[in-house]
Amino acid sequence: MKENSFERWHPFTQFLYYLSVVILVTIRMNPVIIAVTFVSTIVLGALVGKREFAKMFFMIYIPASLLAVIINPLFSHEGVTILAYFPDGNPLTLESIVYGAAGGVMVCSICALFFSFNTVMTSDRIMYLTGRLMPAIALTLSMSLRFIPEFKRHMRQVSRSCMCVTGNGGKIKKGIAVFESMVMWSFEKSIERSDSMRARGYGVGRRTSYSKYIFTKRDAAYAVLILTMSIFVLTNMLCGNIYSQYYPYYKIDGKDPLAGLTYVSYALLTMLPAMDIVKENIRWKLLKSKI
Amino acid sequence: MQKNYYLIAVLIVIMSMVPFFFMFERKKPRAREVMMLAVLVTISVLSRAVFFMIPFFKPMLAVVIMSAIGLGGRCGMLVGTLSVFVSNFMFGQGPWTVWQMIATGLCGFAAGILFSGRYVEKPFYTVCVCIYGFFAAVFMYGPIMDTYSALLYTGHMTGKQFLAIYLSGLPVNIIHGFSTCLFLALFCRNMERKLRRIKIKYSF
Repeated sequence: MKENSFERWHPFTQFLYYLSVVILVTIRMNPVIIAVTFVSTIVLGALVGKREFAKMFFMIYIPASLLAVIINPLFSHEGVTILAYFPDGNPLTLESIVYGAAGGVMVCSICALFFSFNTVMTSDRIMYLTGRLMPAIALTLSMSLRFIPEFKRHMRQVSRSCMCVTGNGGKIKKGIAVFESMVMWSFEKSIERSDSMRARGYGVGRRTSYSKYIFTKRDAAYAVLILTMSIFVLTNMLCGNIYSQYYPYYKIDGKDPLAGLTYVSYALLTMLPAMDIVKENIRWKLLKSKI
Repeated sequence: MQKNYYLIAVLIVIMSMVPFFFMFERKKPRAREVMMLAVLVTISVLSRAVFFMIPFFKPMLAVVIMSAIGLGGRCGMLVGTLSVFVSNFMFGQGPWTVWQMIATGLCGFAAGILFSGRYVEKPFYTVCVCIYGFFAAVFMYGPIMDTYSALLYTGHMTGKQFLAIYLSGLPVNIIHGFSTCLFLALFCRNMERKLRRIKIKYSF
């Protein structure tokens, strides 16, 4: 499978992007920020996942967020604009509907964001990031990721040979037997392996780890860009230069040019990977057309 | 100003897991410990993968509890958190990952505190463990996950609304509790025996 250019970023830069978007979208639930995130995460998801993403989006994310839209007005009766009354006498308010809608769109965009996260941040990338901070934990993770296919294969072998001996009946009993034999086998195997690790000098001196990721100038530039823009947006948000409230009445407010600038820089920040992918695609098309 | 408890809650959850990881790092674990942990994580990941067709019917918590009983609370915490993390590479990472991690880890940790070193292979103890498994799934794992969904869906709630969410999550949690109980009843005794055998054989 051909990697797109966002998937070729350094793991650190990718992680920084996801972290800053998740924090900025959840911190204040600003409706403009949520709308921008919604659009850009869908664009990114569509660029990264294509048909798979469309399937997940319409089958799972949209229903899940519709649920959020419906749930909130049922439970929350705050707000001053009363639209109707429920049979039990609680009011249905406009504010709770607006808040529920904002929450629903936020849930949907977080799901879409995690869709691209799952595709882009493969397990070796996460291992690389954790390995810097916590080498033993990362070693455990990478070993268990390697064990999964091995144990699966062994389990299949045992269950096949079990079938040869006892035939097809007694599924549950046989399942228990297969599982237990696999557990014992894996314990023994693990001890053998750890002895071999110790014989090769595990725990003596500092461990270095191999990584195929190179932090290029482009990664540094993107990281700095993401960091500065997210700090800019965050300070504006916390200082009240962009302001939004849902209860008791719906209000969105901001000191004008600064608020506009904040929204634009947030849009740039969230669109950065998508823009990078599109830019590279166009460049590739142009280069191909020259041949 | 709109307060959002979700982000704060996630930060608290992450912060409460970090000490266990760094304790493990600081201890400079031997190769055997690392390998044993990796094997237990793999077993519990596979146990989740085998039953992925049946919703909420998962033996993962049972495996975590069993390894906590055999190897202590800290190990249970690590097995719980790491196995959720690894299995979510297959099932998809999401905002739920950290919450599942802490929920499973805490169930393992508590099991370690309650039973580690006290478990004897007699029916009475196995029954105790099964009861613990049921309660851990229904009253620890379930409420933590319900809190997550409540906070994510409506970041702005009162006690009564939380109660409604918990009650609506109860059926799912009870299925989960029954599955945990069942798997503990089936495997606990033999699993503890195997763990003890390994510990004695290789002087852990």
